[in-house]
Amino acid sequence: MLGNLMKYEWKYIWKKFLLFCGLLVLATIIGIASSREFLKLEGINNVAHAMFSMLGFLLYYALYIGATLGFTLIVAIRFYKAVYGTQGYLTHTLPVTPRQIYLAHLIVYGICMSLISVMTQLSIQLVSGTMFDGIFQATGMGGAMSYSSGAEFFGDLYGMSPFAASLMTTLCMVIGSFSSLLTIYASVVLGQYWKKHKVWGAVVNYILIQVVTAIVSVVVYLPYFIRSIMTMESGDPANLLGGGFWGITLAITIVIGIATFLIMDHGMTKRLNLE
Amino acid sequence: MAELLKTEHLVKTYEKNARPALNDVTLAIPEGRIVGLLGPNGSGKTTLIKLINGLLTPTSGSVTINGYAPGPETKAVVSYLPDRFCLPQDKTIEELINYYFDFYADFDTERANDMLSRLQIDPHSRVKTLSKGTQEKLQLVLVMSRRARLYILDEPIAGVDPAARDYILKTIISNYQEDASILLSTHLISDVEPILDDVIFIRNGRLVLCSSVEELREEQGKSLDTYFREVFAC
Repeated sequence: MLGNLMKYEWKYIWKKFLLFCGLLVLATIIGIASSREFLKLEGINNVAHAMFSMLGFLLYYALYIGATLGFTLIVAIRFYKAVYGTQGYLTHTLPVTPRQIYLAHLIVYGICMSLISVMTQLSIQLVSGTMFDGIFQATGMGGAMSYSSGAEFFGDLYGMSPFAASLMTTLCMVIGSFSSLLTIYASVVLGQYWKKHKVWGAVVNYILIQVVTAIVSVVVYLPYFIRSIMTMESGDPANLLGGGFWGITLAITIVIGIATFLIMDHGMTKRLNLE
Repeated sequence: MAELLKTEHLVKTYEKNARPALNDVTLAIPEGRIVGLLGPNGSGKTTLIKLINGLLTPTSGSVTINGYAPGPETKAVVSYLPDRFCLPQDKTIEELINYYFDFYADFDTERANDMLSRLQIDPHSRVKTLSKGTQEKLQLVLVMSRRARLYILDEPIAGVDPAARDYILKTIISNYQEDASILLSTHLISDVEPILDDVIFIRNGRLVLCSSVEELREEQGKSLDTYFREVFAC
């Protein structure tokens, strides 16, 4: 039955998902084109040319933020309507368990959001890569030298090769996508405990969870960054975004994911009360 | 007769320290009966039905259907018509039939298509394009196309004209298995009286009466509708 639930969630989202992927590809093309145009130095003397490039960058960010936020919003509304809206009367009377219901949402939309996150990372790498490449060319630092110094910079910052850092970022983004989804679902579930204004309850809960997460993150990251800065001051490579950083990031993401999962599970299996 | 549905000391309170919407309800529904769940508005009929369907969590007490607490095992044998329209608006009727077929092993596609054609509803139409009345009929068709053990129909004839009421009741009667039971909630007693085997009266969340309609008529010497008006007189 989980397979059937997933099939219907995929049927609901696949066209929208492809549309958002298309938007992200379009944004990337605009971002790369803007990077290239911006780096044509003669453009600096041409106000219109520079403005055009800047507008291209703005469009790139707007499209990206709009597409990712829009998709997240669709996923949140879908969960709310299917589980707690009038459609919940159909969903909760299917011969399935509440766990199968939320797992179907989590798996289908988690994969979609992970793919969007990976696309985002690739897009940023492509756009910034184009820009750095252009800067190297323009400043005469092109060739193997610049790339080796780039790799050295990466080594100092990450304590690992650019490829390993890229893999680590992807892993964090995939886990982060599922964790974000769980935060949204837990907020919707917690919103049901409000007597009135359950949608606003979900929004307020989401903000509260984000604030708590931010405070916990600052408290956890602070000793690490203080230690790294002291290492830098002593002249050693600090590996500011090295293994320790990724370990903390993953640990925070996983802990938040587990906490929100437990909230969602409790709300849907033990405290279901459809209006 | 074997008991199909059983509730024991069922209590549901929506808010702390508030009056329970359902208070200490113990009842049993055997197989093969059409049972009217009767009571005025706000008496707790929908709360009881939602508890049976697992849409609400009881404050205390228990519900069992075929020996199971509400869950996948009970939902596989219970066909539920809610008091509101709950089908997704963006789907076509054909897609909804496939949806029901995929989830309910007892769904009879042929029966659904037959009922739709008699109602002259095009299976290719999208739900959102249907009138309110047709949407309600569609929901009833899907619910009654299952070969369920227990049909739970919450206010199936509320807010519809007398002709539509007749159609709905005829659909219910002609499409359920003889060994299945129907729990039908309504406050329009005279319309359902001819088809009921048993009645449950409920007031302010408490069970007032649980009896056979025939016995009640004999004991009271009056129709169910008249008796209902006396019991629930304001």
